[in-house]
Amino acid sequence: MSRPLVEVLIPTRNEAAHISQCVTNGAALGPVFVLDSFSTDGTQELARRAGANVIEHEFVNYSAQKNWGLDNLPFQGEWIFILDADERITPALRSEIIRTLESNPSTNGYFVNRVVLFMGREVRHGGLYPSWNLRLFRRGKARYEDRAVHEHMVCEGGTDYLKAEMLHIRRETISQYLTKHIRYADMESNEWVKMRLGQSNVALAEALFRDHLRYRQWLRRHAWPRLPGRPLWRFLYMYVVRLGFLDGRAGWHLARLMLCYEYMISLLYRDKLFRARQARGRKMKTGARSAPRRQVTTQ
Amino acid sequence: MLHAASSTLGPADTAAAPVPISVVVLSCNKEHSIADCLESCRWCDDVHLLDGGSGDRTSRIAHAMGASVHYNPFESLGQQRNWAIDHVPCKHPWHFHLDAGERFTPKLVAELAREVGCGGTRSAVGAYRCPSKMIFMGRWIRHSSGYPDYQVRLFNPRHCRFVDLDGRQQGACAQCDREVGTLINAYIHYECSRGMIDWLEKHNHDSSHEADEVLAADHRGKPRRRDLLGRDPASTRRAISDRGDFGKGRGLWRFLSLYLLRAGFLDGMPGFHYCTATAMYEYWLALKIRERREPWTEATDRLTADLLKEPS
Repeated sequence: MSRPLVEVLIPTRNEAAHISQCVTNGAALGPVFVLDSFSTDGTQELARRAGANVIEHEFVNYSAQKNWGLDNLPFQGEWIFILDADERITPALRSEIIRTLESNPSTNGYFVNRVVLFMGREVRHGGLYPSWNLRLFRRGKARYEDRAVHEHMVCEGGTDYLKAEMLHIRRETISQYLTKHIRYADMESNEWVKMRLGQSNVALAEALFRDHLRYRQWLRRHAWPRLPGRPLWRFLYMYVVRLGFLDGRAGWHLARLMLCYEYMISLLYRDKLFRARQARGRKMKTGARSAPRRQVTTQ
Repeated sequence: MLHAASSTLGPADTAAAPVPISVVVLSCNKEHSIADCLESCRWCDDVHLLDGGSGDRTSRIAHAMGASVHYNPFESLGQQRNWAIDHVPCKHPWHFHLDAGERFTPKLVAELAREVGCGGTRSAVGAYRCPSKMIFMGRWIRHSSGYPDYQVRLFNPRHCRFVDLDGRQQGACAQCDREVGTLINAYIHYECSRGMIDWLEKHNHDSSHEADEVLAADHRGKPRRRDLLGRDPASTRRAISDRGDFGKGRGLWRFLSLYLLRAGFLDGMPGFHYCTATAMYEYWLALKIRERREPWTEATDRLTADLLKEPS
């Protein structure tokens, strides 16, 4: 049996809505491995039935999960394509991959462009497009950076860009979308509160102009959270500056949902700060009240 | 933060005659606020907790604080209130229904004692409407929350029952066969006692629910003008959402009406955020209604199939 040219790795968790189609889609390119982290909605069964090789592994974070898969799955071929459950490889991309890899390139990794499908439309503006991701690489030559979120791939040797695109299908309900955004906003606001309560920004401001990286960090951590009307600025950036309006109602609603997301961060941030201060104030007040009482008893 | 260990509930001042009111606290999964709520009920010598199926320590805390605990799975607010009337063994002729997120104030308790306390009962009155003060981000939202936002909470169970507002889960209105009095002092209502995250999750859930109801109303047909101009704010609001004319810019209109017409700007920063958050809720609702009317996921699926079609 000849070695496959390229194999597909699909990391999943509770993706029953997508997995059958996704496996079928990936199988057109090469053998499919589904790396599942204990789904409870029958994802594994559906994947197996669609013809995938299913392996279970406990989830720590995205990058650790995928790196574990790259290290431990019984890959045979030379190339690996990482596909998320809500993504699809278009026929054009598939033939471009096969054509490229058969020409024995010296490149070790390829970036693939991704287009979002939302509300029955291809979203090509609003800062969501183009979106280049290193997804196709020579086995053993690329790994994910060790980071909890916003993970990136690092690849040894030269990389290149493929012309054809893959699809990112956003077909969750608004309710699911908001649930996810609320969770992210909660995490983000926790970070802000930590920064606000934990760090004195005087020292940071002094260091500000010493180096560029610090400056950008300061902008992101201190100036951006305090910018008045920040959610609205984000909306305008997405909808006007990045031409989101050209995507019709999909662009409009994506920008407004982003406005909601930013606003939720603000709300949660203010609320948490308020509660933290209230708790601190209560502590101080009870301390102040007990002090004079003690004086009375000594008199 | 628990006061559970302190003592059992009972009248704060045993010398005074007890107010002939039994308090029934309706709650479900409110372990974070039930203790404070029951703490505000200390003036009363007959406190009950009606649990709607909590998975947390709500009933244990209430039991430790001396309230008698009853259980009935929650179906709807009206049904739950009626169950309390029928099955909770209250010893006083008047009942007061409180939620876990609500508190009595000393002023309200004094007024209750004046109104229904020893011999003060006006025999023609079968129920009282009570104003509520909504607290959002630590401040009383006086203007945009629609204060006094009267609710029938104090009633004589022989003359009063509750009905659900057209199949809604969380809305119930009282039907009383006698006069309905009005109280002057308000109880406190904490809009997000467990934090904003709770508020957001609850409103995400509620907007889905309301969108389903609006869709059900699509089949009922257009509401009559009489409902739109009626005196009951709940049915007016419902008639407006039934008409479905607010699809565009719904959130913005809601913000403007709360912030400018109802003078929400007088409530400071918390008031601003209350108006904005409510407008956000309206946007979610409008979007969810559209999602249900025109299933765009199907359109996305069609587009996907189209883009994945093999070249022949």
